[in-house]
Amino acid sequence: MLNKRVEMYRHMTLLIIVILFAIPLYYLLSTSFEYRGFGNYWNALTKVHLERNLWNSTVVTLFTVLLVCVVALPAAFAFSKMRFPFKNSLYLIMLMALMIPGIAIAVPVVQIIKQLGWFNQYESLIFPYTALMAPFALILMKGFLDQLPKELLEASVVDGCTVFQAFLKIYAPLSKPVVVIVSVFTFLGSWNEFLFAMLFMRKESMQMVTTIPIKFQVDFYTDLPGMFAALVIIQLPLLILYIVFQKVFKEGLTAGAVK
Amino acid sequence: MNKTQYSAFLYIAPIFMLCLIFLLYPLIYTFKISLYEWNGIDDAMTFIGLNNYMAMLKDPLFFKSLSNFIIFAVLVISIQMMLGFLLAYMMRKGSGLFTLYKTLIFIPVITTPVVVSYVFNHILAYNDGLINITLRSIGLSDLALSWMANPDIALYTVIGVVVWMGTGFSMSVYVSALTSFSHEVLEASRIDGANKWQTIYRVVWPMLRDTHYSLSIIGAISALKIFDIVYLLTRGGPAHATEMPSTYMFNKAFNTYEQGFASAIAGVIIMIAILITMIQLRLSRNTHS
Repeated sequence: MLNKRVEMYRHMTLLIIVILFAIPLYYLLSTSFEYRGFGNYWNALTKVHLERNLWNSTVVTLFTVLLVCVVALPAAFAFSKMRFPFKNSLYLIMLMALMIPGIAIAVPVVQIIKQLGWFNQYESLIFPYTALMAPFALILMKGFLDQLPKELLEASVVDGCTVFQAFLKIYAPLSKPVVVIVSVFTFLGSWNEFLFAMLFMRKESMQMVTTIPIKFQVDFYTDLPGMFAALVIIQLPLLILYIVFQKVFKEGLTAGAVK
Repeated sequence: MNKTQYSAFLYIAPIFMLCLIFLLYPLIYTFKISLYEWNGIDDAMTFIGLNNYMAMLKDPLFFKSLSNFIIFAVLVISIQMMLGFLLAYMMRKGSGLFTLYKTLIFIPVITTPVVVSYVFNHILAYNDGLINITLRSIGLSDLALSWMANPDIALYTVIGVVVWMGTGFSMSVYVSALTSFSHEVLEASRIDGANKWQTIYRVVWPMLRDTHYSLSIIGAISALKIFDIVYLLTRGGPAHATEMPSTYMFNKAFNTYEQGFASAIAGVIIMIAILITMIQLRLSRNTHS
């Protein structure tokens, strides 16, 4: 009897917490359909040309994901499987780089972007994002490669492969699971980034989805449902990513938290 | 196979080049700018030594932002961890319903800060926000506070929003930590006569020490990095009640164009980050040896 009551309390508590967490999400979704239903979504796409900003975010995000993987995987391989001078100190520098907040280097990065003439260009975000996110990718990837045996490399070198061939043909394909994890987390970080997007993309047609809603406030002044429909559209790619890669999120979190 | 492989430098060159140009060089440059008086636009930079740091140490708003940061970090980290742990523990025996619950609690983690800020701005609005309308309709008008505009409350409102965004993360980490947890331990403590709360406090919680440790380090770093959600929700206001070192620095650098002073604040943020990293490295060395 007592146990049953305890169980009931447990479920009630859970339900209340979950409802509290879900209310903002429900509010966002239900408001976005008010009055005109999907018409709000149609408005968001045609009236303010959100598709332009979606395209910008997509380009920047995909190139960042690609670049992070391309620079981090070979480095992770070297740190995991090769012997070279200053290995530990160089790795420590990367660990430190992981902790640097974007805001703390914003002033000089603005100067660098200015000197390169990159304002309102995709490069202005792709390269800084890669630099900010690659250290985390490197650490995850090194952790994964550490678990792969070194004998694979030794055997393939005996068979006449170069080290680079062994990396490309053996270790890189085996690293697919960690590459997926890194890609998903880089996608998330790059899609959601706000500060650099605000500082470097000033022309309206070049703005990212994270900064454009500031303009919406004017466009949708009296149209809250329209505004919220636009917000749902901005959120949609991440929601799809989460649903498709739910398992990857779980594994990535565990791996990331342990490191 | 045991000889030194200088070719390794070719593998690490791309990532180091990128981090050098866009991370480490700016890092050093920040410290350099912090020794100058500069508006960030003109070429003219005046070397003033440590004057920016002196001015910072005399600036009550800087200390306000630091104390806000400490309150914010302590509350966000501890609430997220305890709530995340409780949720994970209550849902440790999986069922379909719990999967749905976990998904709902996790979605805020992946939600874009700008979306969060607009949704909560409308939920928390004083006149027609969801919370206050609800409170008034059930006769609790006294509790219908000015969540974002009252300087005594705003910081805690921001903390609430950030907890909403982050609890799913700690919950997920605890869920996977509890999965690898041996259930025999729980049963043994049950048999030894421990009640439910004793089991949680004396057995489960202490055994998850490594997870608590990881989560508090990650929490400290993300609290230090926090910028977008605070900036979007309150711009650090009202009356600097929610000002963080990051928003204060942004304001100085890009609104009043005191980039030398802003860089001094950035220097302090970086030093706190290095301090947290060193504590982490020291502690992890202790636990592994």
